[in-house]
Parts: sequence; C-alpha cells; structure tokens
Amino acid sequence: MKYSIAILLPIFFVSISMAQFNSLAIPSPSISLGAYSQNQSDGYSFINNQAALTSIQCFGMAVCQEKMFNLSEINKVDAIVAIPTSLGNLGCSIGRKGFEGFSETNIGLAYARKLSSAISIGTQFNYYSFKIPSYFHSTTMNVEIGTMIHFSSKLTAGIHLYNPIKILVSSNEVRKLPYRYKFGVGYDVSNDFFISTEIVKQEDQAIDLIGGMQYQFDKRFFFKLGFMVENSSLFSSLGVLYKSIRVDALLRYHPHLGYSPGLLLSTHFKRT
Amino acid sequence: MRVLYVLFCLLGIGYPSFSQTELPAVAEQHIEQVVENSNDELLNDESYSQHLYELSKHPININTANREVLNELMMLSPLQIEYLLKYRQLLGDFISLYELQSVAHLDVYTIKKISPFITLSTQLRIKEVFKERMLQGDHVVLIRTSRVIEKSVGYETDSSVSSNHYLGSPWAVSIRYKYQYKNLLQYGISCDKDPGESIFTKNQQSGFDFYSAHLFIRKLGIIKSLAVGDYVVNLGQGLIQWQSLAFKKSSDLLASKRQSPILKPYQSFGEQNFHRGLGVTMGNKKWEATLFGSYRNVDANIVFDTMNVDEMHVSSFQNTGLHRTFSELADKHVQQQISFGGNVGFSNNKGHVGFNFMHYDWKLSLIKDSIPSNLFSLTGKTLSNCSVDYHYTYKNAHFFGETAICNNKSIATVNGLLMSVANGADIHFFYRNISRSYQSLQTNVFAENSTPVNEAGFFSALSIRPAYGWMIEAYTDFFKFPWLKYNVNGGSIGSEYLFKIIYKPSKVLYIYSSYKSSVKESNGTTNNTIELLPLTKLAHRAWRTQIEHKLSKSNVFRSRVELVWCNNASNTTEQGYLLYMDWIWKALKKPIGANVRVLFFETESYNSRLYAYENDVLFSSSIPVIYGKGVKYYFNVHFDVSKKLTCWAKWAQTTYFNQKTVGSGLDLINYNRKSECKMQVLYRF
Repeated sequence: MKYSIAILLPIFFVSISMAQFNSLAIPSPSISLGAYSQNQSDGYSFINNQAALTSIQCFGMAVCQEKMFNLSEINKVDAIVAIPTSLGNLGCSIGRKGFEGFSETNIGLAYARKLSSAISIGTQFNYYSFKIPSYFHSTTMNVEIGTMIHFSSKLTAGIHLYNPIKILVSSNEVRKLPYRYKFGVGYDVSNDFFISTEIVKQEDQAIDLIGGMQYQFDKRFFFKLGFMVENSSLFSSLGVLYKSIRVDALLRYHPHLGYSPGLLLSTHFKRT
Repeated sequence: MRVLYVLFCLLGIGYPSFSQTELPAVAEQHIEQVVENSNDELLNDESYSQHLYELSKHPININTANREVLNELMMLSPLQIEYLLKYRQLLGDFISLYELQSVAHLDVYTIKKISPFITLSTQLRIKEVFKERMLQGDHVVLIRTSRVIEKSVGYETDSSVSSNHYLGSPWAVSIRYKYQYKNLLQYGISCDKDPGESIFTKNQQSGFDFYSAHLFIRKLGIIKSLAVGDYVVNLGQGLIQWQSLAFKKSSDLLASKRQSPILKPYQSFGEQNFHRGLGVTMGNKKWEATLFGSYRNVDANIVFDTMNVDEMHVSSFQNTGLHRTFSELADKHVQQQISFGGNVGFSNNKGHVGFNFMHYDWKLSLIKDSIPSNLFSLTGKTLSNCSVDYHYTYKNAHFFGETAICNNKSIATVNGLLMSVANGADIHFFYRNISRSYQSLQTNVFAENSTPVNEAGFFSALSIRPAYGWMIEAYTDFFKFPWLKYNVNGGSIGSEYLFKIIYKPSKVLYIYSSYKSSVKESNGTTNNTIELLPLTKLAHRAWRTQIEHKLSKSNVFRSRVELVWCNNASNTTEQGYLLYMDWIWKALKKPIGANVRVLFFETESYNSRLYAYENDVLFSSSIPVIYGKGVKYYFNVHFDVSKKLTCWAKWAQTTYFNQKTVGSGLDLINYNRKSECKMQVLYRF
C-alpha cells in the first residue's frame, strides 16, 4: 500500500503542487491567509510573504499538521517561530512531509524589516532535503523575497518571489524547485473582517487566483474561507482563542481528491 | 431627536421616481440571470412586474407590513427585514421614509431601490377595509398583440403538401381582466393565443388556446389567504415546489434565499407552471397551516405502444405551452394531473420552522428513454415529496435551509447563511447536496442545474461598500454532478466566479463593470461514435460594462459593452461582443414617453451567445438570445390617452450581415432580417 502511494505521490503533486518537489514550498492558504491584513496578520503569515513578519509585535510560535487527502502517508507537519527585534523581525520555519518511504524536509530562516511606515521587505533562505530510501536523496537551498506596501490603514498590497533563480534539485530537469511569482492584495473591511486575493504564476502552470476572507465573529472565535481557482479547491478553518493559545481546525477540499483535515496550534507571548 | 435625524437624512436621499415601463436596474439584472440560466428567450412569468406595478400604484405601508409582505417585495434581504421589524417594534412607527436610514443594515442604495414601492399612509379600519375591498379596488383590462412581420416557413407551407405547418396566424393575442384592491382581494380572467396557434377554428373550438381565472383573498379573519382557480405554490426553499419567479446566481444577497408567501394568485400567460383548484392558508401570529388541491390536464409527449395501441404512456412533460401544429396539438392536455399538498409552520421573532408535503398523481405512466443519463429520472404515475424548512436569525447572522425526501427515499438538502460582517459588508454562503436520484416537479432551487437533482456545491458571495457610491460584489461557486447529464458522459465538476464593481455617486450616474468566468465539463468531439473520450473543460468568460447617465429629468442615456470568450467541445476558442445604446425619454408634464435602442453584435456561433434585457411594453419582459453578426434596433412608445387609458407600441428589427435566413425548422425566415411589432392597451377604472 505504501509503495503504491509512493508511486502515486508525483501525480498528486502535479495536480496540487504542480511540480515534483515543491509541495512543502507552497504554504497552505488557510493558515497564511492573513499576510496582507494589518489587523489579522499572525505568526504564520510570513510563510506567504516574508514582509508580513514586520507586523509581528510579540514572540510567537505555532505548529500545524495537515493530513493531505486524508492519507497518513502524506502527512504534513510545519512549525514556525516569529521573533520581533529592534533590528527587524526574524522567523524560522521547519516542515516535513511524507513517510519512511518518501519524505521532504524543509528548514527556512526569514528576516523582515520596515523601510518606512508604508513599505516592508522580507527574505527567507530555505534548505530542502528530498529522500526516497535506497533510491534518491538530494539537498538544496533557495531564496524567497517579499515586499509589501500599505496604501492606507485598510489596503495592503505585496509581491512575493519564490525561487527567482532556478534551482535544480539534481541534474535531472524534472526534479526541480519551480519559480513562483505572486501578487497579493488585502483589504481590512473592519477590525474583524478581512478579504484577500492573490494572483500566482508558477513555472509550467497556468495563472492561478486565490481568494479568501477571515472573520472574527467573536472575541474568541475566528473563521476563514477561501478558494483556489485553478484546481477548483476550497479551504476553510475555524479557530478558538483561549488566553494566548489559539487552536484552528483546518479543512481543505479538492473535488477529485477529497478532504484534507488539519490542526493548527499557536501561541504568542506579549512583551512585558 | 428622531425628527432631527430625519431632517438630517433628507440630505442623503433624493426623491425617487419610477417609470411605468421600467423595472429597477437590479430586477432587470436578476431577470437576465434567470433567462441566461434557463436559455429561454421568453420569461412567461409576468407576476413580478405586475406586482411591482401594483405596488407603485398602492405602495406597501412600511408601518404595518409584516415579514410576508416585505418578502414579496424581493428587494430586501432577510437580515434587512429582520432589523426593520425590530426597529419598528422597539421605536414605534416610522415618521418619515428618511428615517429608514437609521435601521441597521439598511443602506441608502437599498432605500432608494424600495422607496417607489413603500409609503407611511395610515392603516384603514377593518370594516372600511372590507367595504373598500369590494368597491374601491381597480379594474384593469389589458389587451396585447404582437407578431413577427416576416412570415416563417411554418406559415407558408402548403397544407396539402405537408401536415407539419402552423395552423393559425402569426399574431399573438393576450387579454386580461383583473380587479384588485391592494393585496387584499383580486380576481381576474386571462386568455392567450401564441403565434401560429389557431383561434375559433375547428382545431381550437374553445376560442383561445389558453384560459386562466383566479380569485384570491387575503386577511379574512383566521384565513390568511384563500385561492380559488389558478394559483401558484411556493414551499420552503424550492426543493419540493416553487412555481413563482426565483432568482439565480448573483452576488446580490437576495438571490439564494427563496422568499415568498406559500399561496399566490396566478396572473401570467404561461401555460404550465401553476395549480388549478383550491388553496387556503390559515393561522395566527405564530402558527400557520396551508392546504391546497389541484386538478388539471397538462401537456405531455404521448407514446403509443407499437404492439398494443390501447397502451400508451408519456415520455416527458411539455413546458412550452405552444400548440401551433397538429403534432403539438396532439400533446395538448393529454396527461391528467391531480396534485395536492400543504404546509404547517411555526414562526416567532427570531425564526421559523415548517413541514411541507407535495403529491402528484397522473393518469398515464411516465416512462423515459432507456439511456444512462435517465437512469434516476422521474418515472411512474405518482410523485411524493416532503420537507422541513427553517430560518433563524442570531445577532448579525441569518441561517436558512430545507431538507427534502422524495418517494424513492432520496434526499436533498440546501442550507444558507447570510451575515452582515461589518458596516457595509455582507457575506453569504450556500451549500446544496442533492442526490442523483432525487425527484421533483415544478421546483426552483438555487443551484447550477435548472432542476434540483444530481448536484453538490458550495456558493459564497461577498458585497462591500468601501466608500460612498462604490460597491464591490463577488461570488464563487464550486459544484459537481456525481452522475451523468445530457451531453456529459460521466461525473463532472465545474466552477463559476464573478467580480463586479459598481459606482453610483449620485442619482444621475450609475456605472458597473463585471467579469464572470465559468468552467464546466462536457463531452469532447469525436468522429468515432463508439469511442468514449474524457470530458472536456468548457470555459466561458464574459466582461460587461454598463453606464447609465440621467442627463436631465426627461432624458436618460444607457450604454453597455460586453465581450465573451469561450471554448467549445473541439477546444477551439470563440469570441463575441455586444454593444448597445439606449435613450429613454419621458416628456415633462406630458403623457408620453419613449425609449430607443441600437444594438450591434457579433459572435462566432451560438456557444458565444449573449443576453440583454430589453424594455418592452408594461409587464412583458424580453431577453433575446443574441448570436451571429448584425444590428438590432427597437423603439418603444407609451402614451397616456387619459388617466385611465394607456397605450404602448414597440417596433424591433434585427438585421444579420452574414446570413441569408433567420431561425430554423418551421420558424425559418427566408430573409436576413426579423421584424417584430407589439401593441398594448391598458384601461384602468
């Protein structure tokens, strides 16, 4: 069973992540939706655009697990730490996906700072490891760059470049990390309600559109909902905040591949 | 304080106006959507435009109107109705229409939209109402006639050569008499003859092809409404019965939730979508019960058994209402239909729950062709459905839905949520899951399919007003059809998106631009009829921009440009465009008005067709399917001969540049043009 899943994995990745070795590189939109919000940005937002790190006011950490298409063999686990400093904000991410027959691992280190009250920039260096025991093992590094402009207290736009310098995982052209360019806009309709849209162009793929909304319908409850046009998939989450601990139940839906449930646990420590 | 507020609000709203011949712009757009989804050129249901016309003559008293009456207006969302009723309950009657601006979630845009149809006049006492019901209402006589000037093949075929020809003249004739006192009492009779149908001949000995009569009374003690004759029934969210006009996909929050009284009088010229018999709704403030029964003969395709001519069945119901040829006459009223149903409902300030049931009984068995896509279709001599519907308001959220089951135990459910998430921002979600074997008749649920069957989907919409005069609307819809459909040999998926931006900075300028994209799966093309190809994605994209500018009190200019891109089953891309300009003129202090349109269009085929709402004579809606290459113009004039008598006349002509004939089959015209004229007289006394 596991071997047959390992054979099918590339097919899944082609349809969802659109290249063979990039599924970890694509952030789950349901956890990083708040990147272009000035009110609802959180620790995970920098996964989407590193410039969003500048909105972090306090030390935060989070861990997320997603069981993609309800298959334990393609479990995805991510963890992040966001640290504000006087010289700019730092972020660190670690991720792993797969099982003993196939795995992808990623470690990223991000840095962001404000250039002015309206402009933020950020960058991230990633280390990747891809492993199929007794068959293939490769490591590589790449870079991401992001920038954001706050046009007003409600409207934010940004550009994000992932892997702008084409990096091959091995000498084989197929095993590559694709480049991806992204333009995003977010609008804080109110302190509680935020909408966002992103236009994504990834190597060898058609232009995709991601849209979503985030609503805090109570002091302790959060709701997110969004869609990805190209593969007609939906994502959503329902979050509960208790003191400084927040738990989000995640759910993604793909019309052919089914549901991907997940859980996000995050916390932050206010400065004293 | 309230008076001061009202005076302040006077600065915000201008005095509204409503032309006798024009629907509100939003209603026009909704009707365009209905037609686009049904691919039907004519909208047979005139009840909505008649209802708005009556409301313009006798506006709703906003201080006494209940939820049902406000629902029927079809311009207020459930949340807006809820907050309006709450405001009235807490603070008492409105002292001015301008005070409506202080109702939460009721924005200036909506108030302007409803203001021609509402008033604050005082309520009459019951005795006076009863007396006035009988004597003080309006009698309305309407006579309408129309025809296509160029005779089509169906009229020119020699009857001695072929029996397949139209038996009557190309003139369409419709006559209606109606008495109405507000919405409390109405009765009327209608008769209608479509083009090609004969009248007072041996083929049509009863005179007109269609007759309809109704008596409808509201508020008679515990009887909330009583229908005798022809009436329509609307239950729940439309899963088991919905015969009135219902809106289709739109970013407007009104679109998905079905809102209507259960019983309504039938007053259109359409020949299928109604019941004929008796219906009654009784109840008090919290409980309500409805029972109705109907017996009528309906059109159906009759099939005789080749082995035994006494054995016959029907293969489908006919919904066109056309009886122009011998073969169409052979299908007329061949199926006897008995139907009955009812509802028991409980409502309070916050919510409602209702139990509904519906049953059909036919004389002839319905047997469909044995093809895979018909495997779960309605067959047999009976159909029963029952359902539970609800709505509930909690703070700024309004939940609603219906779950139904039919007699083969298949289930369908639809559930929605409307939320006002911020000042000037509303969101809307709607989920439907309808079994492939769910069966129903005369239903209209908010879904991609025209009937509720074989579909699961999730619709979400957003409407925000970021600044005065600006409105942004968007929706997405993801859907899948688990079983085969016509021309789709497999389970399929699809999606649809719309983004619309509206700019209405003042009473004189209205601009909107929208981009709509949809992808559905369909059979690919192949020369090999045995080969089964994978489904092909059919993409359709349309960009529309419309500008309306009121140059003066008597002159309005409107212009639209629309571009369409789509790919067909052989995966080639097609394009189409439409451009029109309208001039709407109403003479000041003179009883005459007119509107003129010039429309240019070019599409590569029927696939890239376009739709555009046309101003027509009062109550009549025209949304022609536009394809090919050519130009169309029309002018529409109305003249108030006296306070009681109004006349309309319309002339329209379409000229095609790249074809020598228009239409197909018996409707084929051997010219490159099609000219239509329509005349209508309305006498109100």
